[in-house]
Amino acid sequence: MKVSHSEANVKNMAIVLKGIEKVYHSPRQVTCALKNVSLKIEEGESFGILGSKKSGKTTLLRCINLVETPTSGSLTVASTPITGQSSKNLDNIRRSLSYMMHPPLFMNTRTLYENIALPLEMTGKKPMFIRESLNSLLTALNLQDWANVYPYQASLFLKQRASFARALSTHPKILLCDDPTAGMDHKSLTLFLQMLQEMQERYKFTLIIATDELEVIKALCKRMGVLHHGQIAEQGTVANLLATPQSAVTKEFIKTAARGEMPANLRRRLKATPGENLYPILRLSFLGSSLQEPALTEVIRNFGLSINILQAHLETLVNQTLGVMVMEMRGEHEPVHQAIRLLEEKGLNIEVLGYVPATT
Amino acid sequence: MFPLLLDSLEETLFMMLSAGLLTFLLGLPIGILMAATRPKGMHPSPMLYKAINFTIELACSIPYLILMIALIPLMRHLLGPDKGALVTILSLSLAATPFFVQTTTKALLRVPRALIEMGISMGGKPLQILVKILLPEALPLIMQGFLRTLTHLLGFSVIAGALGAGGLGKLAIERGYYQFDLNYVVGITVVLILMLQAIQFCMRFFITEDIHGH
Repeated sequence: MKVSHSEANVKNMAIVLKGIEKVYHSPRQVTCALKNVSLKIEEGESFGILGSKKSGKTTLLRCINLVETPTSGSLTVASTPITGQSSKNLDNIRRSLSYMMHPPLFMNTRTLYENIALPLEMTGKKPMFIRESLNSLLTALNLQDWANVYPYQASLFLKQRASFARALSTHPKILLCDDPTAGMDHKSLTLFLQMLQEMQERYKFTLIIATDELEVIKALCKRMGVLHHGQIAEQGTVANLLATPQSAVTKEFIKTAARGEMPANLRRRLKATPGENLYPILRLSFLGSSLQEPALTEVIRNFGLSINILQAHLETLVNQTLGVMVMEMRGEHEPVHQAIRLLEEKGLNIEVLGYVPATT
Repeated sequence: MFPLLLDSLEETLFMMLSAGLLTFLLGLPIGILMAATRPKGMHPSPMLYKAINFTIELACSIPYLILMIALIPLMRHLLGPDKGALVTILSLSLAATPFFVQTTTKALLRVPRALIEMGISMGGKPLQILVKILLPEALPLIMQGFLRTLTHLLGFSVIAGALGAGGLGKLAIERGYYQFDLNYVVGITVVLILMLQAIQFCMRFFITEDIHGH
């Protein structure tokens, strides 16, 4: 009974990584790109890998994409353990995976359409069949008018859409996106995220998206892992990681994103370290229903503080809402400190964004 | 003068083009083999790569005149004395192949490695990746290299003519050198210049787009 239960569990997992390590040996040095990475990604879910540049995101995706062989650790892709597979089987597994590279890469001797058709050509499909099966995809991604353009004539957004279409052309079970939104302007980004969601609904693929933009993950993923120096710093639901981040990296990402939301004049006055006549700017966050009592009022009253709310909003995550408030807390150093501790005990997550001089 | 010049031109063209075809057929597979077996290629095979590379580099470093002097008697000995045209064509293509192999290998190496990996991750077999990705992407540069090989072949074929094969080289030696007929010297030079220009003109078709942005 127990065995069949665990088997059923394995079947639902699109990707299982256990203790993946990747070490590069070059004559000069040994670089450890991935250290003990373990992840489980369910079939059909959207999983975000948050990491800055050089954190090992691309190496991780390349390992999952089977173009890079991990130095050690075990890897299960599309419900199939990878070690010990024949090269013919590997080719079959590769065909159920698609990888969107960054920046999008094309054959310059082929038009966008011919590039999009390449994966199907590789599986030996006839041109007529390819044309028919790509038709609706091209329309959905607004590519039908641009199909005969050559890659060097195309804009970045057009190339990214074409790269997306190429990735979907084989109806993959798993789609790996490496920094797909890098360099996109706001309008393209919104459109692209929308397309990604529509396509996932239509083709039901498992999406793994690696990015350094928290916003992208917030818009698409229910769960995420934070990658730092080749290690998973923490993983869990996006809502939990945002509300109660544990690792310094996650906090830094949230802080950076929050600074982007602050009014410009405040951001200019912000100092990194506390001092005389400086008041802290706090970012409070809480999950939709976690705040049961009027904690804030209580604290202000008890400690004789005054607060100035600079910003407050609800962030809509996938299936969750996150309350976020940015405020200035005025008062003596010691009471402010105690107040923050008390609020944290009551389940609020507090991040000190910086300090500003008292205004008169 | 003109009928003679035309006949020689025809002979030279025939030698150059058939040797060119042979060079292409011989050099392309060797070039592909070199690109594939090099240390970071698709099928690394250090021993094979080193052996081919050594041979090619050795052949490239021998001056063409000396190579031809060595090859023509060798070929004549191997094929028999009555197959003059074949001997010349084989010698010419053997002399030109190393150069074409080098340009072909270089052209293939210019194709971004990520494109090959893309082919692998699409589940493509090595032959599919070669035919569908590598060769098409490298073709403009391969053709540039081939046309440069043709200009070399034109030079070789004139030298071969001077060494006893027919064509413009023979005419230049007989009429221009021994009889010192200035008309022939000028005529042959003009014809050669025109032929080189024609090849250069063809080359332009392949240079218009330097497709990998280098």
